[in-house]
Amino acid sequence: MTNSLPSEYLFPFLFITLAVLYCFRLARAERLLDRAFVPVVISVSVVLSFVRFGSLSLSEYLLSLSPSYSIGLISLALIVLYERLCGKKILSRRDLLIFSVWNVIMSGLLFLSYLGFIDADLYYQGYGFSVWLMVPAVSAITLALLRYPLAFIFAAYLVSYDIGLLHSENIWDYMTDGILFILSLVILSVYAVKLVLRTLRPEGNQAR
Amino acid sequence: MTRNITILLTIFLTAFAWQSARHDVTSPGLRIAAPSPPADEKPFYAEDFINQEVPGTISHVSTLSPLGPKTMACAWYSGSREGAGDVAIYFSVFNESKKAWSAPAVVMDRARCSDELHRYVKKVGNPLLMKDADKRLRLFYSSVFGGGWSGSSLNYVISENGGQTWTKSRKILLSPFFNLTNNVKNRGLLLDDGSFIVPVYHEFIRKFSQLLFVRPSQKGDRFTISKITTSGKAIQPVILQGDQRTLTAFFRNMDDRNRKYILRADSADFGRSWSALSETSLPNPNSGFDMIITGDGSYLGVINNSHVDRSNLSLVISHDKGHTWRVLRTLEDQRHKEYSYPSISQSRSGLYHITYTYERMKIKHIMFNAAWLALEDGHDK
Repeated sequence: MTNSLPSEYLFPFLFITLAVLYCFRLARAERLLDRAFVPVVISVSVVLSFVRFGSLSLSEYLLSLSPSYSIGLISLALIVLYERLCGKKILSRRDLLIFSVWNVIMSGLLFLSYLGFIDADLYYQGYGFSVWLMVPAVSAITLALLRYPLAFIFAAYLVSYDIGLLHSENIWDYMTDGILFILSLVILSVYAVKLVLRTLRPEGNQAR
Repeated sequence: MTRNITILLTIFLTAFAWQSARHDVTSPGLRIAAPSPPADEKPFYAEDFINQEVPGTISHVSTLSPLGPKTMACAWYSGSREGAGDVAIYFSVFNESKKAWSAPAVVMDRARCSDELHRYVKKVGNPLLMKDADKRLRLFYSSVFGGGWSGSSLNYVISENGGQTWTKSRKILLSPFFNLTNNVKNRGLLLDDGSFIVPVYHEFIRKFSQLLFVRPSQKGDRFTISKITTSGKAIQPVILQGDQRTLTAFFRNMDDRNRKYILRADSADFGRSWSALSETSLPNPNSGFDMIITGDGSYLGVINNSHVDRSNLSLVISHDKGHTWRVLRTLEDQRHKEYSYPSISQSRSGLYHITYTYERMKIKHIMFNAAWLALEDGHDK
């Protein structure tokens, strides 16, 4: 295991870029900067991500929280950033919900197993050629056949695992992480709350 | 388009089948090497301190590893209190010919760890020394980003010159959930193919033990981790080797009950599967201990021989693979004092070395030879 892989910094950089983008939009800087908006956002993000303030950069502080961010989370951040920067949708709301459900189920199983609430050692099984490698592979094929854009995320798990993009040799670390699990839970919770509110809202109000 | 994607993914699947060969987790055999004492040696026993008492400073969690033919390496941590930001890991080498320890040197502290890992580090903790098949000394140690010990993760440094200089720290990823928690206490076992296993324990939400397989290679070390226990509160395992495929693990017992005993589990397939936990006859006041196998196959342990506290530290022996135990000698017994976290090892010359936390102020060192051990064992028979 080496000290640092450049790929480790992918999620922190994407996350910081998203944060910068939202801050700039809140400050209504888009109109002011016009065509320079995207280059400025990216430049500021690069500085914030990689220049050290004191002993560590902002990216390194984020990597202190979790030393490895999954390909699932990186893909999600990349998609959201692309959509926000370019204004083009890649994942529909339905895709996002399916992805969140997948993350919550798989991560939930993994964490329950890892913490000893389920007897099977799922994380250990992720080191070798096992069913846990077949699950994303079969999912990728199925989603591709059904023409779901999510197929690309599942294929990304497998490709990045095969070329060893992250430090880990465990397929689980490519599929999920703590942040992705929490984020997926939040997405599903927000959706559930909206659904409940919509159901409870009197029909008369909707007509107005 | 769909057909192309399907073909592409089929190629990926084939690649994973190939990948599985790289991820083979079958286990090689154990390297069994216990030096035999000369038949005519006289009983020898001596004790000293590795470091001197410094007011306002604690010393804790010592770890031993044989170094050269007549040298034994020791590491421990010292600081204003356990878990304080000023805690540093110290290193010293004992020369059996000179009967003296080298001046303790700082190997790792919070600032150095943070600088080398490029991560925020709140504190450093438990060290574990281990010599690998390439005669390199490895120092595993825990670091914490936030919170208590349940937030710790593992790192290591390597020395190729007996601890004079060390590589930069490397972090090990061993957990899917924020890399929580991995900590070490007792030594690992070297295997005959150059890989080794290290007992690891987890404390976040639930407490259990794991086995870390380390496979050094040209491209870097490869790690896999598997569980030893899932039930109970069994941590800080001591792993003892039986025959080629048999392992026995003894655990610190963190159960809430008042009368606790050291726990045990066995594996007949080199750690792939383990028996359920069972209680030994050895008491355990929720404290760390260490054990070793002697030249004649006996299990020799250093434990807190109490259900209540860490005021009694005893040398215990078992001639039937840990099923029954006898106290050989009480090493320490002072009310309201603490003698804890022992580490035991045998040097290449055959001398046994024990280090432990002495009243939380310094690290005490005891050494004896096989003749002394036989004499003590004979006295009690």
